[in-house]
Amino acid sequence: MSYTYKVTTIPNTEYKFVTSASPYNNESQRVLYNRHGVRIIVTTSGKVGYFNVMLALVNLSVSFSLFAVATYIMDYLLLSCCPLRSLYRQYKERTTIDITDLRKAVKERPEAMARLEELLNKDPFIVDPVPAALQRAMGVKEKDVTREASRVPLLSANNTRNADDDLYLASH
Amino acid sequence: MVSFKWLETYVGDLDVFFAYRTARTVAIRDRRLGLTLLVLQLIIAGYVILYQVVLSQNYMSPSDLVGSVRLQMQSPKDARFKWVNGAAPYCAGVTSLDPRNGPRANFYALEDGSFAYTGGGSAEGAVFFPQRNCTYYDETSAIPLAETDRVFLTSEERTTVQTVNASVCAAAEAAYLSSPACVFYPPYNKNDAAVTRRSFVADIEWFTLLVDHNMNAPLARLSYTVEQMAGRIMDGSGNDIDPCATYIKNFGACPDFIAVGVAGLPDILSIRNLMEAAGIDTLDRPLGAAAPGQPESSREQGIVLLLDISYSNLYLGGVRGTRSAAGASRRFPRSAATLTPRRTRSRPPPRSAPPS
Repeated sequence: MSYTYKVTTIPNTEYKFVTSASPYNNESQRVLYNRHGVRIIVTTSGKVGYFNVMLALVNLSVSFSLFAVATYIMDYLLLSCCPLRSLYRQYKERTTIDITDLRKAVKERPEAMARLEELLNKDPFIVDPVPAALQRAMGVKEKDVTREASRVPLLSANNTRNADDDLYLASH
Repeated sequence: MVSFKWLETYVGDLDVFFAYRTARTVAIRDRRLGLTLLVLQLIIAGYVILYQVVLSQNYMSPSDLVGSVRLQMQSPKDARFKWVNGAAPYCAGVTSLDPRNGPRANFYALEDGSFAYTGGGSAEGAVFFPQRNCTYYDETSAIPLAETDRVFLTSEERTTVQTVNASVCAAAEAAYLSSPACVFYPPYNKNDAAVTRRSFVADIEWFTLLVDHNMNAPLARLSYTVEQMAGRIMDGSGNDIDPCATYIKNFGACPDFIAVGVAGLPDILSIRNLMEAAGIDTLDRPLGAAAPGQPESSREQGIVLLLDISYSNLYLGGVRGTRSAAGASRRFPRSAATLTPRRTRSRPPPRSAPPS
């Protein structure tokens, strides 16, 4: 904690203090003292702060949200000012087919809409097809599972379990 | 492992239901764009860290504070630190046709009982004021009213002796002022020397003022006395004032007790220091625009000084300790063990009276 003295004066002001005094038991006489002089008035002021966790978090959060401004400025420059903005736009923005046209095309044909919905529900990778390499990896695993599963008749023709089934289950 | 197969009948594929959804970003391989973004982010980080945190300290919540002050005035006791032998230029009888070298050469006294403050310039164009009898009051006589956070120091006293007008007021009525005709006579008249005796209080610029103050900030739970704080006195331009500098300039030495911001001691400074901080170099200047023929100086009419004590615990709103010639600078907090001993000075040779 520290303090500072600052002194100011009000220009063209004067100050005086008038008193009187009478001799003892002689009210008919008095001495009039008209004093002019320096009047000093002291005031206190200042700014004292104390650490406030909530205020600190709020101020820091608001301040750091300014980082989004940098991203916004860059995006604007990227898509509006840069010479290759068309190329940047293709990478940054994902544009769908014209859904309105699609809706119009299938509107008159209910069977086409049903077929489209069935197709979309069945295969979630129509828009983003799975890459061939991943397809091959996933295909091999499925084939292995299918081959193994085909060798295990968990239920016989008459829907009863046999000793081979128990042996298979015990080994896995 | 716990099976959640039963849950799939309600929500479907669990991998889809509990899928981790994350944002997708595009990495544009262009160094110019990347560097531009980095520069912007650095500017923003600099603003946040430097301005918000370091400079503004916006993590601090403001708190009101309450300060209390005790003032105590003392007349100059040491003959070394006032006009020699009462030879102040405004005192009647002091004559000097030749300005002396040094700071006192700013005063120019004439044989006709007037004097002027030339401010270091020539006497031409200076405003001359009448000299008056000087009274050598101590602090008890010079201060007519006891107050705590303000003080009035007499610079000029105008005394009028009045009695009840016996020609219109009977003696019995005069004793108790029981008649409307009983008025004190003569009436006050500052320009009539036969009625009003005017005298200056000598050396009031060298009266010293003890300022004992403390502060309390309830919300911040801070409470300090003057001895626990670092302080300084500033002029109107924001520059530090060394309270001893004016003493050394005028007398070649500084009293040991003059100090601002010395650890463990209240602040004691002279009225001259306060005037200097307010930008007033002398009381012997016309008050406002000089009235033609009858100028009145600040010494004759008085002035009002507003002393504001501003507290702060923010390091940019705070202050450094003042290093005075008679003491050491103070830093908060400071223990007695780290107090720097005061430097002593040899007494200067006695000054001779001004040549007549």
